[in-house]
Amino acid sequence: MRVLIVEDDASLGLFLQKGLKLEGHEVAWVGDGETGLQFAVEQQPDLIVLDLSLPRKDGIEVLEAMQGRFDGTAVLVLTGRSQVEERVKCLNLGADDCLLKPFSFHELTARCRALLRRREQFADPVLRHGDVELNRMDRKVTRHGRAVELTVKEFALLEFLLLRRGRCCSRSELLREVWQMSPDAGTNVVDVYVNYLRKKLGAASAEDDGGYSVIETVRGEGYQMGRVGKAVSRVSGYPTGAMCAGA
Amino acid sequence: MVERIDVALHGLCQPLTVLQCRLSLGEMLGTPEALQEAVHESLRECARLNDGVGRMRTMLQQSVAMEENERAR
Repeated sequence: MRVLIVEDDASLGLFLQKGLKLEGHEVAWVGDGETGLQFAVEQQPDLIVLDLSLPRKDGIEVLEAMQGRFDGTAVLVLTGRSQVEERVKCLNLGADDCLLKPFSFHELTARCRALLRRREQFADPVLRHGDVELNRMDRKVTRHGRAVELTVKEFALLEFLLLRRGRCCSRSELLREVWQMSPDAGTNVVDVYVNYLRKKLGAASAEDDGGYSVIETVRGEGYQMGRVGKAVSRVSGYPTGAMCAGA
Repeated sequence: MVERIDVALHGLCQPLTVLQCRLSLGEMLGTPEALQEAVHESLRECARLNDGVGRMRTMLQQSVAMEENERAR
């Protein structure tokens, strides 16, 4: 999962980043509300861990600015103040949960997991990228409305690429996340399956698609979903991909 | 006074959170390096806590002194 930490205390921010990374999340940390909001708009993380006392837009202002704009992002508020009113206000502004400082690391990670689980239950099951649609509930893929038959691994690979919303996935990451194999496995299975996917999706493409590649190779890095016009490029659902940015 | 204590307590929450979480993480990882790192970082947080407690003590002393002055009048 991609987590954004907005915390002005460097010691706590760094610790949270380190701790949640060890939990297997891709974590970015920023130190003020303004940057946090900007980052959230650009990266659409799965979870924001938001401190309330922040410079350049406090946590409440960030929540107000986020209202109704981030359906796919869960927010866990961290607060050092014990007033119930403050926590109620945060929840009314769209926060999913509040955690009172000082908290235990185990409680923080358990709450993060619970929020992400809850979010998955209510998310749109359809991932879209241009003319490609993948329904995670029905396990069906279409391109231009035409059904594309995929094997289990092909489906998992496409799903992972779609969840990354056009960002690059390295071969080692794909090996680890889709095949549960070590990055040192010394296999070209990723390239082989990307080829299968390209062929199957290519066969279902419209004749006037401008020859754009559904899956692009990023030289020396890996693969990403091909660039399409912004008007049709949209991914919805419950992303679990990795976040590239760090604080 | 109550407000000042509230602010001071809030200030203690940050290092206390890091201290608690840092030690948990060290224990969870369990390697000598992780434990050493946890102890090192925890000592730094203890220093922050000491500063915070020092500030609270000063506040209390000031408040007691003020009360004694009031009574003396």
